[in-house]
Amino acid sequence: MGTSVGCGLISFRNAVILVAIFSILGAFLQGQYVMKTIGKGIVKTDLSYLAVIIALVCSGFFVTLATFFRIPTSTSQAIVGGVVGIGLAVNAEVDFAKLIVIAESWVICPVMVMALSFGLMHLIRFILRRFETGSFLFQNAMGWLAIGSACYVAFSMGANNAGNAVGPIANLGILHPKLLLLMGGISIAVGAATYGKKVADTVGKGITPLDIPGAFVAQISSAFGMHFFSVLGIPISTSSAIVGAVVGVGFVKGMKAISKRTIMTILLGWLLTPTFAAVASFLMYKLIKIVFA
Amino acid sequence: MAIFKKEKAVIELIIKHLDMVEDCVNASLKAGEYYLQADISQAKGHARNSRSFESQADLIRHDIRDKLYSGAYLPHLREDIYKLVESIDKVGNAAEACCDFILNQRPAVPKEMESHFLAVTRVSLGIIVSLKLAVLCYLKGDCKIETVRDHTREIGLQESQVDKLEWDLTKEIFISGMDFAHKLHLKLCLDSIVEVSDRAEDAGDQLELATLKSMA
Repeated sequence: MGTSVGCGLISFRNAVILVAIFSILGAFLQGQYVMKTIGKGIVKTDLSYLAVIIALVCSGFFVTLATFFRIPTSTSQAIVGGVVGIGLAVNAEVDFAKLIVIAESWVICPVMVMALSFGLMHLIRFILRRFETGSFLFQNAMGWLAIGSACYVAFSMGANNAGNAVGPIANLGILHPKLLLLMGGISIAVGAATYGKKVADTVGKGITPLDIPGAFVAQISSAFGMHFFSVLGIPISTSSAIVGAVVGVGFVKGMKAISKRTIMTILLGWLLTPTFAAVASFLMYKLIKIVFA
Repeated sequence: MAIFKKEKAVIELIIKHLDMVEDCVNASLKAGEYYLQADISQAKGHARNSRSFESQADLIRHDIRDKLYSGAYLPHLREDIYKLVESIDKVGNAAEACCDFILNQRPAVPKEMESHFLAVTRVSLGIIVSLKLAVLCYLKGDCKIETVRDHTREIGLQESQVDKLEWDLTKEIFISGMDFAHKLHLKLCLDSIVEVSDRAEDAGDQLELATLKSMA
């Protein structure tokens, strides 16, 4: 919803309500694919309670830290980093082939979404210039389309990120997977309500100022990318998809419309979050084992 | 179509408001013309009509505001729409004020200046025709943006024409042999006449801004 909030289409409060509804729906209806990958896809061994808690705490800490500094970081990358770190720490079998596929998707997804939004933005511009009508009714209709596409983003985000968050604990058998996914969706909604404003500002205004057709294209492209990878069960970075889409729209406006500094900050966040999450969970597990041995 | 019912109702109200402002300006123009022909009773009748049309326009404007802020249109458009309506309303206010000035203060226009005052009144208040064309063209959505902008450019050109007439007439007033108080009174009368085209130009600018925002 950052793009919709950024271009003044919807208030932050209403955006949070829509995010809550659609992310919970996405998590509940389609979160199981990514949950399976995170639960048993990367680390083949059943993890202990302690290992799962450390993986989640370390991932959550680095995501919160990055969000605090207004860097749209990736929960998926942090979780995958945390799970791999803990897998190595407990000497479990880590499926590096799967890990490589996931890491590749972190590059493919934003590039694919960027290309999609670039093409779609050209198409929308062509249509708008052909009909050349900009009446208030037309602008209103465009606005609603943009809000609809933002709801699709929230749905896809729920489908991907809720699976990420609850994946590690799915194998512990504490709660029914559907209930876990529902909790994941609710947590995304709570996250949006508390820390979401800062990231909404960065995505909506910091990268490239978006008009309404731009917001619509960025959102529909990123939502499609996220949904596509969610159904394949690949935990991708939802923020990389959104940023990729916004950059694609920015390219249509010209390179000058894109803030390179913001992009560099985001890229740094993507690189550092999984690395720090992996290293931190590895070290914390080892430390706890040494202390309590 | 069932969708955007509230929004379509707002468009209809804006068109109704525009019609009322046009009637108000036309009534003021007639009042001015009759005044310059020294037919005060006819002028008074049209001035009353002008006031009545302006009051009705105000009521419609309030209705538009209420509809907008009770949920018609997305928030980012409401301000643009209301600003446009407000700017059109100011044209009506200026026309009514012009009427009031003439009939309350009865400026004594010298015979040799009557035709010049008549010309500037007709061009300044006649600008409403171009403004209405531009606004309708945009609101109904059946014109291309470039056509709307052509119409707004036409408003600008007409306003420049009024400026030229104003400049000439101001000069004529101040080089005449009238006493200074009389000169100032006529200048104030001229100012109230040209105020109408100034406000119409502002409304044209507001409309152009809306069209620019809609371009991807």
